[in-house]
Amino acid sequence: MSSQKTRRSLEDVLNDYVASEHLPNHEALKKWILLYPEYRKELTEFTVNWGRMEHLSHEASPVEVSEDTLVLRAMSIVEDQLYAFKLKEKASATVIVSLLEEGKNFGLDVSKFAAQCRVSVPIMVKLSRRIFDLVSIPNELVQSLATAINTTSQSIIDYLRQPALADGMRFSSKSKPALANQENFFDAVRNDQAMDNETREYWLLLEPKSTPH
Amino acid sequence: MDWRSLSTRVGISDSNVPEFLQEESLVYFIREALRQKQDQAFRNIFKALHTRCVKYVHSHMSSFPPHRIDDAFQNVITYVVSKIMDLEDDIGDFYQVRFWFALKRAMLSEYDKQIKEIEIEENCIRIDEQPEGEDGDEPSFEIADTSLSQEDLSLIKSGLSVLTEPYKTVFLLRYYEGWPIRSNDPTEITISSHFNKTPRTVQNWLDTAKGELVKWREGKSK
Repeated sequence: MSSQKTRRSLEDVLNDYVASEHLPNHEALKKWILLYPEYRKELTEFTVNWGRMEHLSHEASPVEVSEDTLVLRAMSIVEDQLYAFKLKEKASATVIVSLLEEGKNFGLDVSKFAAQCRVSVPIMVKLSRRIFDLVSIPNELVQSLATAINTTSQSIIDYLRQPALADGMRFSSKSKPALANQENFFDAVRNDQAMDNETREYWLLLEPKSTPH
Repeated sequence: MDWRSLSTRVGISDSNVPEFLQEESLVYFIREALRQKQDQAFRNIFKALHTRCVKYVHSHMSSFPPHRIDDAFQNVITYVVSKIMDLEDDIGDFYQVRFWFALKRAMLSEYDKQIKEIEIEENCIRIDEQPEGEDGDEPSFEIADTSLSQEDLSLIKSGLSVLTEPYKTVFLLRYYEGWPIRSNDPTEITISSHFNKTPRTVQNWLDTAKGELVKWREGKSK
């Protein structure tokens, strides 16, 4: 346990060292040994290898490999890891049949569930029916939903990604329920009469203005 | 998020173009695409990120023998990809904030690992077989070495590959990183203390290295 602690600390020191010094040199090494004399040996070895990596490599390649080949190799690693990621995800996935039903299992009726996730009851019902375009739903809401029913954000995303449900309208409404096209979450917030202004402002502040840089 | 237009935008490699996305942004979008199961966008953005960094990684490992270059490259990329794809790990977030620094740390760890493996393979590099300096009076102070200018160092850099160890590393430490051969301060790290050899031996190694590099230059100019 204590050796693990030492290793972590050394890792932090080396991180700071690399972050602070553009290239390895003797003056910098002296400075860092003064700061961390307990890591004198490690800092010295690290500096020697860092120098080798920076100075000996670039001009010395015995085998020329094209950028395309390297990208292909790297993408093959990505494919392998993506496959492993999906297998792991599949193994650990919690399948949610209905968001509202799942809420009930945790003692949350639709009002309590909605309140806990800072949305109105109509929006909560729309979420359960998967009326919203997934990409418009903020991560904060996905996380709140996951926390409320003690599951992962990924399980919520998997649920919300499925096609919209036509049935399941179980609250009183004067208008006849109809299967809508996928709706933008923020438009629904803007038009939601049941939501108070403070909550509306909270959600609208999360609305993306444009594609981020 | 419009993944299709984003996939086009990540292909912009000119950083002067306003739509150019920094590597940290690419990592953010890779993780977001993974979360949202946008597999094609995930692949496109990862490809764009790799296009920007594979040469950098490969060239920094190129002083190793060919099979080790491949191993080191593979290990660095595998590590970086796994960290970026780990949506629960803080290290993944780190790549989203300081990509090049995080990549360099991964490369340095791998470089260090490879060096240690080589040392084990070669039984700690048989330094004892290298010529030692003769016993005798040591110079009482370090004589400044002005025989190699910055221009010289720049010209002979590509010749360093002709040197074997320990000449290569000793030459590098002395002339590219400014390490002293010896010091009157016993606590100061010097080439002599690092290799646990007399300053005279180190000086012999440097002379041998210089001789090899002179030969290399002469051969090149013919």
